[in-house]
Amino acid sequence: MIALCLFLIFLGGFLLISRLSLSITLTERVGFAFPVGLAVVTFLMMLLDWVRVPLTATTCQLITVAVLLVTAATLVPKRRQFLCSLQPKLNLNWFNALWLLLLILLVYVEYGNLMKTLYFPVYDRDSMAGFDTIGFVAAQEHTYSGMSIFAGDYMPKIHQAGSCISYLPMLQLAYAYVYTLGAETSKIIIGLFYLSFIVGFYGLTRRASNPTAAMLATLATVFTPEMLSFSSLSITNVVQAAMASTGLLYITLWFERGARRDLLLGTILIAVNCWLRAEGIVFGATAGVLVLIQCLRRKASWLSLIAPFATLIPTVIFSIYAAANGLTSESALITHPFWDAEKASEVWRGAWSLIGNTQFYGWAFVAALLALLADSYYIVKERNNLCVLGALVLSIVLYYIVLYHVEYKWDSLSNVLAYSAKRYMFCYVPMAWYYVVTCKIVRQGFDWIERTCGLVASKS
Amino acid sequence: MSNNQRQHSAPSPAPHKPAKAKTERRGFGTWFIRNGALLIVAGVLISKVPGLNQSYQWLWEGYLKSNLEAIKQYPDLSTDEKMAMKLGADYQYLAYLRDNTPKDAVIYWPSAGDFRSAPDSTQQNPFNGKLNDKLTAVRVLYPRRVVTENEYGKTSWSKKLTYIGIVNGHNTDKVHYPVPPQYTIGVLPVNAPQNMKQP
Repeated sequence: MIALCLFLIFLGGFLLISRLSLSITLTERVGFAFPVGLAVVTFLMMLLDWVRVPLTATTCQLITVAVLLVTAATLVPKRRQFLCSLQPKLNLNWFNALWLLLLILLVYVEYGNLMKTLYFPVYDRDSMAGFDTIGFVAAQEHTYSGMSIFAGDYMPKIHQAGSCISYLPMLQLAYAYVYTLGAETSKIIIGLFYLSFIVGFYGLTRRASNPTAAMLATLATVFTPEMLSFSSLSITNVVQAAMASTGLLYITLWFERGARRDLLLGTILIAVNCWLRAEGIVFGATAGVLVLIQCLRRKASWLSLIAPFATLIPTVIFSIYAAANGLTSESALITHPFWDAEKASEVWRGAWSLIGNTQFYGWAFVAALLALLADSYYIVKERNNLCVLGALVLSIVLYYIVLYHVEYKWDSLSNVLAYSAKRYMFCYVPMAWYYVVTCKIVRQGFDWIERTCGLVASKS
Repeated sequence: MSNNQRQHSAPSPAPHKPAKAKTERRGFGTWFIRNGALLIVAGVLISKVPGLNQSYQWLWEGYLKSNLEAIKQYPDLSTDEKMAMKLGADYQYLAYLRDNTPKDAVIYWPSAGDFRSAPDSTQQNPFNGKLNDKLTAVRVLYPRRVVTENEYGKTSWSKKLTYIGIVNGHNTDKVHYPVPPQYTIGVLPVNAPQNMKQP
């Protein structure tokens, strides 16, 4: 039953993305179907919990089927085009042994990672002291807002700053979903989410560069030491990084090419990222700046500005739900402007020590810097890839501004930089590798490989 | 063609389309030789370059290979055994509490200090005190209720305690009867000492 329901969630997400645009490639649709479907199902779980519908196995199954039916119904008028879009458009002119070698390595790495994810139950501290336990208890008590562990008399510290009561609940509700259906552990959610990201990221990068470069970027992203090891744990960081990075990259693709489907898919993925973690709004804000620039350049309609605001829908609705149900904690955000040189200096030093850390992120940021230097001629002359670079830098700067504006009541700034910020930087790893392979000079190199070693020789 | 020449050339009536490249299937021998050379270069790069970064080496050897070997070596472990493999004696103690208390129990969960301070410095302490967070204990002990050191005597649930977790001889003072000094690890009912279990 669990496998069937998860497949139906995937199918619901697939149909929903197909509804956005049938020109979104099959790889991208397959890749992002599960995360998007899961986000919709968990969002509906929250709404039903709000009106006191018990979150039982039947409720979860009904939500899943309802999402599937509604998305399928919206595709009925386009059923022929939809069926045509399912036929893979195979063009293997570029096929070369390097792509195959990278694919074999990628499959091995992800196989090892997925086996580890599914073999070990949830054992990491942050999941046991938060996400997984919340999902488990919600499944046992058939409620989210009314759970015993959210009651003040049982958990006296639950409303303190930094408490898990105010975390965005997508992953917790996803865990509740599988526990409700009788799962022994919730790891299948994380395993499928990360697998989906790999497929989706390859599809996205392939569209912006070429298959061999996309495969290299995907392998390099997956083979990032700290990120891969965290991808097998039940915490939100890696899955949020997956949604935030790909969402913003779609917005940059829209910025460069102007296709509406990229704006829509980017908006949805950034909204899913906001539904996973509160800091996700950094990516919504970055998307907002990019869209605003296009509007000011008269390259996009002012209506496009709806997109970045739409990414905030999960955050806003959850805030209202949380306030209505007493799921609030002491705010730690400093909302007025201030200057604290010591704090700013600590944040600055922390940021640079993380960006320059090759133990955690491998060579992602070093490679991006080298690509930037190598591509500098094209950046100046043709503004090549400037949008991706700008989005990467702006979202990093915005994140550290947010960190600066937090009052550290529950933990020290140095701890937050060493643990939370370290994990948040995962968001930038896929963006850095995407930047590397979409730089003109690198892309030309891979184009040459595909021309020289592909199945078909081209003559002009 | 120089820029100057381009400017002076007459504009074409229709938008200029680049000439479509003619394609032709490459012979297998050519493809094989070229890709063989490509693979040799890629193989050398992939085998040497990641080795320059220790964390990539760790990922390959310490993370992927060692986890796959562990999974192959112990394919049939139970969830409790896998958890104990990762979390050690602290988890085994949690599972012991779960297996030796009724589902409606209200349990005093020892503090990190209780776990970390061995009664006798000559004895090796099996615990590390890392599972001291209340929600972690709730995850394993549910539906039993958990009361922590900070809540003891202060919350309504702490007044309903039915069992006390004893580690390293700590918390025996919280039961309402004398406890032998050799009872150092286990769980005791607050009121009725019908059986005193020690793991």
